[in-house]
Amino acid sequence: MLLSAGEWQAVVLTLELAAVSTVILLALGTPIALWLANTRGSLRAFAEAVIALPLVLPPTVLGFYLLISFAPDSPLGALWYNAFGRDLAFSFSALVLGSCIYSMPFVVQPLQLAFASIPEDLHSMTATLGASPWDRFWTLTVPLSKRAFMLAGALAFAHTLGEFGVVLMIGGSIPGETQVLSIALYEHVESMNYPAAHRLALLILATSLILLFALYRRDGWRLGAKSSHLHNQTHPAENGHGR
Amino acid sequence: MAPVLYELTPVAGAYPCTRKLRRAASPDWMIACLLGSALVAAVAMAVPAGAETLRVAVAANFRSAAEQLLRDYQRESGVAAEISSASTGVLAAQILKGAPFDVFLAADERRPATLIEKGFALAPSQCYAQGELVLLGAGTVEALNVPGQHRLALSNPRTAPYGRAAHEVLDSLGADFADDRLLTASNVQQAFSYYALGVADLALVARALATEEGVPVPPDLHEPILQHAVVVKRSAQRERSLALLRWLAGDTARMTMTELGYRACS
Repeated sequence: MLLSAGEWQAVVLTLELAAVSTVILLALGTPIALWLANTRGSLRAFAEAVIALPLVLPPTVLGFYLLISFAPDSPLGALWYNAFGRDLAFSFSALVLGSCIYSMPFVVQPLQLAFASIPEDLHSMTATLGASPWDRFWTLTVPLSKRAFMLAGALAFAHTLGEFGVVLMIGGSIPGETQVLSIALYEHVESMNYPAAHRLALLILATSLILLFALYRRDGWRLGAKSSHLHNQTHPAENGHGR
Repeated sequence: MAPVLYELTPVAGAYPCTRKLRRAASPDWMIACLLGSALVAAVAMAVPAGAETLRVAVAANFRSAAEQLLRDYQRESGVAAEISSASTGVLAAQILKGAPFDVFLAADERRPATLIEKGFALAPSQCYAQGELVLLGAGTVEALNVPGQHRLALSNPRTAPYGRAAHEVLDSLGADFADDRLLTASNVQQAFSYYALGVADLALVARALATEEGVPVPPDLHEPILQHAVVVKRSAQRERSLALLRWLAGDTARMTMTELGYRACS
């Protein structure tokens, strides 16, 4: 595929954004999901609602609040400037922060389901055998939730690739800094450069399709390890895709 | 609670790689992909991109002109520039929120003046071009007086100076378009694309954008479109930015702008 230098820059930037966001999301989403899986009551319901918000909010709502809080005259923007000597708004870092909020439900929800599906017995049993909570997390929870981690990572990655509204609002369209593929495509459409728009649109379409196909092609992307036979839960997004 | 080290299993990726045959779509492969692109990201971020490059915010009407001018400028001076374009109002709002531009080529004098007043740009602003409005899709401006038969594309008067001028023209002519007969685009480039796609049969846009002749709108029907440039105060490349503004005022740049459909500032 022949892409211009500017388009390559957008490709690299998009992959960077998706990769960095995915790593951060897995690191942040895991403790949140653990906490949610082990909490009851309205506090949990409230936290779940907050995390699910990006699924239903128009990106403009999120983008607007993020823009306000990232601006140089806001406390967060000022703090950021003092710490790093750069403005936060319209920077790559702003996109990473925005993506982490925007894609959080895609990481937390599958992980939470997987964590909650591990029988309590296993926890008490291993605890009786002297395993500390830390041990139990790494030797019990993580192996049993391996597939959920992969699903969460892949969804976070793919969803970040497809971001547009939030990016446009908090990043604008600065080449090499915030001009990701979806924005570069938008610019091509606006300036009626349809051949270039076709190239980028096809690239994004094909990449997303391949990623999702690879994801669903796996025999039963069930949460938790298949061999454990511990569960019969599936993520809503994968109903009917097992072979 | 010291971790038992030999039991530490890193997240998923390093887990049983040995299991069965691995297919192209295996989870391990995908994790490898993720880690690979994270590596690419880390490497790419370690090399700060374009500290030498000027970031220029360009009003939508001037985008292709700026591309050509900045190419010429790079040949002459060796200074590279990258363009971000949107409507003048949107770009000004971005600068107020800390967007890292060096130079702002607006399509009016109001936005640069506001930025200077609020301490976001260096005084004085400089008029670099005067824009001209054309009517596309009709033989004469009189066509605007029969609004019932047309759909007119123009840009949002609140963010786009050409849209504002277009509304002034309608007011001067007393042309009373119903709301559903006006297609308001977010910037003048988009307004032109509505016309080019056939969604609108008339358009009031910048002459520089139009790929066809069009009817020049008499200048007395609207306030002159004086396009001003400023250097953004937070720019770390003030000298280079000022040099670019000086070059834009020079003969070479003026000649190019005339060819592209702009007039000298009056």
